[in-house]
Amino acid sequence: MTASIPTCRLLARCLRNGQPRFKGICVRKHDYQPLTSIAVRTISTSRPRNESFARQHATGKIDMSWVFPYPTVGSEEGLNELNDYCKEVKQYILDNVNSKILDHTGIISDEIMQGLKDLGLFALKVPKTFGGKGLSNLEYYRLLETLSLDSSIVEVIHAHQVPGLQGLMQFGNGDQHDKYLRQLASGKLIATVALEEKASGSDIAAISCKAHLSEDGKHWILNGEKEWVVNGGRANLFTVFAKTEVVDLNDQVVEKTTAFLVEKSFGGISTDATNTTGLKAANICTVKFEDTQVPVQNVLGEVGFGFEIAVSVINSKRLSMGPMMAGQLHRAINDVTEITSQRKRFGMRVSDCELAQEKIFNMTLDTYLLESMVYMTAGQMDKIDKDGNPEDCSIEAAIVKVFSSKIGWSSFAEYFQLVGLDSCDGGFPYQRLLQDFQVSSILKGSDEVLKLYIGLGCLQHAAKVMEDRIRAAKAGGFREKWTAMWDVSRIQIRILQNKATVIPHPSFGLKGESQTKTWLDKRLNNMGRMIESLTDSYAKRVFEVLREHGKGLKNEQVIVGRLAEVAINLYGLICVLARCNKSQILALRNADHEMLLAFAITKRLYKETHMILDLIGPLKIHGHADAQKKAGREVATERRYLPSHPLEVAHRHEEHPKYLEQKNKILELTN
Amino acid sequence: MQLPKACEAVCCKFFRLLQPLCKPIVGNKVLVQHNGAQVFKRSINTTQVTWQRLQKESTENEIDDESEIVAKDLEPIDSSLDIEEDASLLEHYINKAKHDLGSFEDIEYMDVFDPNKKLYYKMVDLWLKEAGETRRGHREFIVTVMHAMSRFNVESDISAYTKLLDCFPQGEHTGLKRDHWFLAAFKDKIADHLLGDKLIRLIAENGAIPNEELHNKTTDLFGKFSPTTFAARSILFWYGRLVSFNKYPMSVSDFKQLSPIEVAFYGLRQINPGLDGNYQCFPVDKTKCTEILDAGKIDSIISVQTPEQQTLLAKHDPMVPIFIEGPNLCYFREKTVQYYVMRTDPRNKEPDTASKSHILATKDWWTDFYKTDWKTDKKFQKDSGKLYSSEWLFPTIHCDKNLSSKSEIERDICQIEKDTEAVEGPVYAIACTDYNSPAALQGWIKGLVQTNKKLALCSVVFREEKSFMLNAPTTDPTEIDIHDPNFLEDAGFQ
Repeated sequence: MTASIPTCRLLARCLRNGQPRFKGICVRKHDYQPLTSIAVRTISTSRPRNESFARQHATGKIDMSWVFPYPTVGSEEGLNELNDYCKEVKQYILDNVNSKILDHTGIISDEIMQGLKDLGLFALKVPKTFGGKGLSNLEYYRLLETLSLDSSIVEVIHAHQVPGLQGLMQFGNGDQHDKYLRQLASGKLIATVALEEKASGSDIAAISCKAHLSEDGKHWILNGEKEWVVNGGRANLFTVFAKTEVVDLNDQVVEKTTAFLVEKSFGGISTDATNTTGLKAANICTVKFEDTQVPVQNVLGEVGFGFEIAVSVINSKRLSMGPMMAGQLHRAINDVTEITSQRKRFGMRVSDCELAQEKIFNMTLDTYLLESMVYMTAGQMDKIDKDGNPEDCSIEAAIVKVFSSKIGWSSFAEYFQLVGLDSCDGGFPYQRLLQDFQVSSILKGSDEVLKLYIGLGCLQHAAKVMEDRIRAAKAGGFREKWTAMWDVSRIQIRILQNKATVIPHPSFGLKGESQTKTWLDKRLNNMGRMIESLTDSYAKRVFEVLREHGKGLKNEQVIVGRLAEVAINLYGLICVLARCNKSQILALRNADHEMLLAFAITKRLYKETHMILDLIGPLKIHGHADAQKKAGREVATERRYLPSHPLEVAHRHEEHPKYLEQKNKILELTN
Repeated sequence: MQLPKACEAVCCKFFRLLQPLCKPIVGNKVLVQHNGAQVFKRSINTTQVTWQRLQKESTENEIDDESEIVAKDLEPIDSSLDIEEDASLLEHYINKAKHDLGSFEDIEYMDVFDPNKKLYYKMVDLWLKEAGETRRGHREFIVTVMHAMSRFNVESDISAYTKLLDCFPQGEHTGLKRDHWFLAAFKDKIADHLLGDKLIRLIAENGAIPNEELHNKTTDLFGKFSPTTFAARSILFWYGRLVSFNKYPMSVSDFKQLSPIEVAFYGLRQINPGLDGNYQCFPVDKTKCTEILDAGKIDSIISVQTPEQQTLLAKHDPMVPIFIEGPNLCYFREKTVQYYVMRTDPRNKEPDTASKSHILATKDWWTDFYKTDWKTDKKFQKDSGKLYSSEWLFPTIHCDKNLSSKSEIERDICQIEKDTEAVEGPVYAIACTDYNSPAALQGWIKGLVQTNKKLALCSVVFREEKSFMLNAPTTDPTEIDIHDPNFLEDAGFQ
């Protein structure tokens, strides 16, 4: 009986809407390919770089090739293979890994490491030709979610696979590939990245590690100290970034970043484990290089062009935060519902209280949102354009990171509230969850820097697109202004006359030509409209802001940060819509439950986003931007809490004539 | 004074208004002539009777606006006072207070630990006891005490001033109250109001913290619309704002205890602000220095340098000289601080590089045709226009400069004169010392070299520029004989 309901629904829909309806579930060509040949991918889009999905929202455009279909693992066989593998990994961790002991000792034992290697967890991202598994990003992040049972292990494996291999895979030459990739896949070599330093942090251009050529010109001599190197004690292959002197135009000598592949056997490397609050078994180290001799062949890319590599490395490592949090929140929700259903207070189960249910609902909502964003982004990262370059998803990955660290605090707070005092007595999973989350969220880039990165990235694209419109509006003459207005309205008029050949943006095809052509499920139309209007007002606000500040926006950090928040919300909304649409059309399990969640998310974020947009609007009554700027600056310059203590001066209000006057008045009124 | 009965009522009013001014002066003089407390007491007792009688009469007849007529007859307080006489009055009460200090009533001043302060409160209490309800001679007493505040070390205690306000005649019928705006409109100069005003100015000068009690007492005594209450309200309003403006508030009594070096430190903190400032004290080589300083002077060099100044100095071009300018004077309350500034001249504009180097035609052609560098055959980077990219993490917004609405304002400004040109170069360090010779200042440079290596390469020039304050004539202007043709030169003018 239960199996027949979805099929009925599908059939009914086919009859109602006809064939075009199935466009929503059509999958791309490469999705049908088996797991093994994922490394060779088909061409799907040809879009110039720096014009990614989230950036286009700022210009009021939603790219439908992203939204439909929601990315999936190609074939059913591939999916089954992946699920089996996940099960195997999960079983291994449940059987062999005791997180309590890992935390206590601070070391992952050699047996467990060997077991992980045997499972092939160190070869996930290595291409098939070099003896690896060659997983796509989607499959890789699915596995990370499974591994999130122990966050230290996730960090170790992720540091090896993604940031550790990223530089070598993307920028390394054939010799370097041949030399290292096979050993890396077997786990003989363990890779990691040494990028951050004490003095620089997120500012990767300000590193102080130095390298110079030896006299015979065969070696680079490396000196300096790197901090927060994950798995630093165990790793054998470091991707190290250091400053080298190069000659620029007019014989000017400048210091530019260069990337090196440094083996531990080169000598002069000493590691010192850092005592961190969380991720204790991840072996986070300070690595010191003293006159380490690196052969010239081991330079990654070109000398002086390491900055690009560094950027791609830090962009790649961000996304892992999402699946890790998603996995942990999954388990937290299952756990908390179990606990609350067993506990009775005031004669009823805690899980029957509406306020407790609200907390559970909040956690579910955030998890659903995060999950949709993570797999959407991971799926799109697998795309490759005509020139063979992967899709630029750095902004989207940053969005996922910022969002996951935002909901991390709120969801864990709800979780601990529901568990009650049991979470306070140094309880093992609770304390650990928070500490691991704290370390890993800071390790992957600070939220404020990422917000600026997101906001400025969107504005950069918007400025390029909107420049003509701004200029026309600025020109002042009636004629120019009229032309600019006409340009905008012309498209809309053409739609009204049904002459449009191109569906205008932003649109899910809900208005304009025909309602039957849309890929959206009919019940989601309302949400689609809300997202469209939100995108419209976002684009309008971006236009206003650009017209007001222009190039000076780089100094208006408050505005940029707020715009980034809007971009995050909007991206989340679209991901949820796409995912919910998929589950509706395919009639997945609990599709109606998903519908409820999507509905709540849309309502909530719609309101929230409009409030943020009001804050940066031209009407200053909405916000407190000026007060915030001034007061913040004052506290920062004085370096202390400024207001006087409430008890600083004896205040004899009882003798004050004004007070007495009012007191008498009150007495008169009461009598 | 013989007057017809019809005029009696008017005279009574006159007398009532004149009474607070005239009577105590008479009483005071009696006291001083005989120099005995008993006589003084007796005179109080006699006046007390007349005062009470007059009060009863005055309540029968309401006064309206005669106060304006009275005001012309008043004399300022100070001119009627003889300081020597007041000093003896004060001495009398101090002696008495010293004698009585151990008594049981002193339990009130348990929280006052300073014996001088304790003496002060005791003395005022004694006076209050003796003066009685009418507070006869209160203005003389208050003025005398106001002059002697520093002697008791109570300058920065607000309770000392509120205690003085108790010395004014208290109660409803003193005739001092200006509770209605109409009365205030006449601006009558009542001696007590002026004295109260002076008292509050003294509070502001001495930096005592005004409180609610002060305001309440002045409103009770003088009414809402009196100048005294206005003054009290204004210092209540301004005190917090001035404190926050000042950043480093210090009471008068604290300031008195500062050593010259501490004064120099506080002065330097004002001259060269910055929380990261590095304060150092360097010795002076006295064998090389011929100057001999007085006892209270600073015989070492106190230097301050912020990290920004240190980085500026590190970037300094060794070919350009560094100047030490001074001595300059800075007044810190009544004390002076003498300081020197280490700075350089503003950097001139760099000459055009285009006129220097000759560009080859082939090079031009090459870059135009191949879009690469002539020498290395490398491609130019989009973001920097050079061979290597500028290492900047954040995306940059490429937008026309004049496109934003804010840039419109900048475009309208044009420079008419060269008034915005930099006249002064960057300041590298500032130091305080009372020596004037370059030999002494060598100690400063020696000390600074330890933290600023670049200074060893530079040539330092001592440029003596006395401030106009130091050039001022030292002779007393009253002693100058104007009829002498060379009087200007004698006085020190050039």
